[in-house]
Amino acid sequence: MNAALLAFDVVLLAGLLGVAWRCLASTDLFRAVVLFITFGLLLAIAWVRLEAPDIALAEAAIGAGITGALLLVTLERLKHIMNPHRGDAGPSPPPDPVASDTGNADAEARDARDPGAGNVALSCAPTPARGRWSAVAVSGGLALLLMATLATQDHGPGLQPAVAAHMDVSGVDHGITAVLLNFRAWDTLLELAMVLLAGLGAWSLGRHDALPARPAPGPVLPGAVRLLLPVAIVTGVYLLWAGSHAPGGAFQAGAVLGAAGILMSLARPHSLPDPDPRLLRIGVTAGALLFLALGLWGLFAGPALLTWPRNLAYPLILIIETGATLSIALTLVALFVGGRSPREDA
Amino acid sequence: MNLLLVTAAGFLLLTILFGLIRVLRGPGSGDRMLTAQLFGTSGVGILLLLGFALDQPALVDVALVFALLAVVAAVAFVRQHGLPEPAGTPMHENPVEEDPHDPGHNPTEKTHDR
Amino acid sequence: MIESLDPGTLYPFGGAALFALGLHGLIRRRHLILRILAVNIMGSGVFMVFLGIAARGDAPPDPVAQALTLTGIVVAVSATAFALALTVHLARLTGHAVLLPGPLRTHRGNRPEDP
Repeated sequence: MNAALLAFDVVLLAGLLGVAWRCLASTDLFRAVVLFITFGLLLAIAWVRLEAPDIALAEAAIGAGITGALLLVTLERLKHIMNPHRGDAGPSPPPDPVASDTGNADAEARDARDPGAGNVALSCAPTPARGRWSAVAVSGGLALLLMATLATQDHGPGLQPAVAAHMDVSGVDHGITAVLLNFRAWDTLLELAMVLLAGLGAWSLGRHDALPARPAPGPVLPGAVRLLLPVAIVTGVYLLWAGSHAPGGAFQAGAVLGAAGILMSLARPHSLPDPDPRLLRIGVTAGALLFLALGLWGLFAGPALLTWPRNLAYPLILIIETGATLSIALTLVALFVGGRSPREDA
Repeated sequence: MNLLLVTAAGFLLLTILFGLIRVLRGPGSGDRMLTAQLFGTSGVGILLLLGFALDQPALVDVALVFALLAVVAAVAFVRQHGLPEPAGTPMHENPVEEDPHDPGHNPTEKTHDR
Repeated sequence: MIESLDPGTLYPFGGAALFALGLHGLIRRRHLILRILAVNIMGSGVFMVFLGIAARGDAPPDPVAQALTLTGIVVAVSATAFALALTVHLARLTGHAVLLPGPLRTHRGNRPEDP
């Protein structure tokens, strides 16, 4: 049993390293993206082996539902920007003069000049050999240093006993949720602020364009989405609920619901979902603001800032998690759409 | 019993590593994307087997999320490549290799056989 | 040094190797998408070191380290999405998705002359 598990671990680690290596060495961006999706899958299995089902859940929702779609759509957008005439049947358009005069050893430019290199946006030449060994030396040396530290460090019990000793005041029965929303609530508040900041950053870049696409005609896509959306929403709410006593919680639920939103925007043939900008703003900020407001209230009613009175801890955590789920899901969809709604500028 | 489950999970992991050949070789983007979808299915199998072998019932939830969301990347792909690509806009490294098959570029995509 | 090869001992070394691999990619590759992927792989290596150390020993894994990793994953995915939006914006302005030395040159409107 143990030998089999050890063999499993070794194969898994070798696979992870191999996939990461081929992904970063790829000259074809589409291949790199598919390898990265595979990397996310293997990583989720690795988190399972490290007894971290919460992290595996998050990785599954992110890796499968969000990052893959985000990267694929970004590639498509880049292709659209660099080859604006695609879609016209005929020879590929001449390379963008700017892209090819950016000069020197630039990978893109070489591709653009080479007619056989295919799409400018989706491939990039291998890196020139100059400086190869210094890069290997820097990263390899750092890895050896890290490994030496890991091998010599002795390990104590960590913070697990401390968390276990205080579970009864936390209001929930799951250690990670207790840490995230009670013991170290600061981290989670700042995490929500970070998600909000990323969303605001994407909005500050301007209006979004419709996703470049040739919509596939036929009933398959709308039918699949109609079946999948309700299941995804139920799963998201279930994960939110499960977070108080089992792996799950606000972020996993938010990621699943965000993936459902991404699925919904992908299913629309020519436009993107366009909710009322004011409602969207309220939704995106609700999680962080609600958390902050209840945290300030805790300063007066509870023991300290961002702590909860013992008897109210469970309902408060559930309220905060619901708000956080909503905001995370909306922000992820907004980041996927990639810009402000055109209605805001009107 | 557990040994059998772990061995089966290891076997599925090996099939994923063999499937990587298709991702690396291609030749078309449809081949690569479908391989990634297949990995998703194998991953669900591995998670369920490990969940029972290691007695971690939460892994069923992880497998559920994987099974549910693997389709998102596929939808993102199909939306952009559901129809044969017009000539001159290859998605892959080596357009010459692919051209003879181009009309059936993504023969396995479900949107085709309507 | 290495008493037994339980996952908590084995995986941190893999995490260190992943970090180095990502760093190497970050240094060597110039296309921004590949650089974003490289940073993500570096981050995964860090998470693996963290979770591996948390899972060491026979006790249940350390929930604080796992919670920190969860926070890290959220921040990483937000940063990745924002970085991809920035990449698309850069490509829209300059026509390529590579950071070049020198001042930024946009391909429409008033393009500053080469020095």
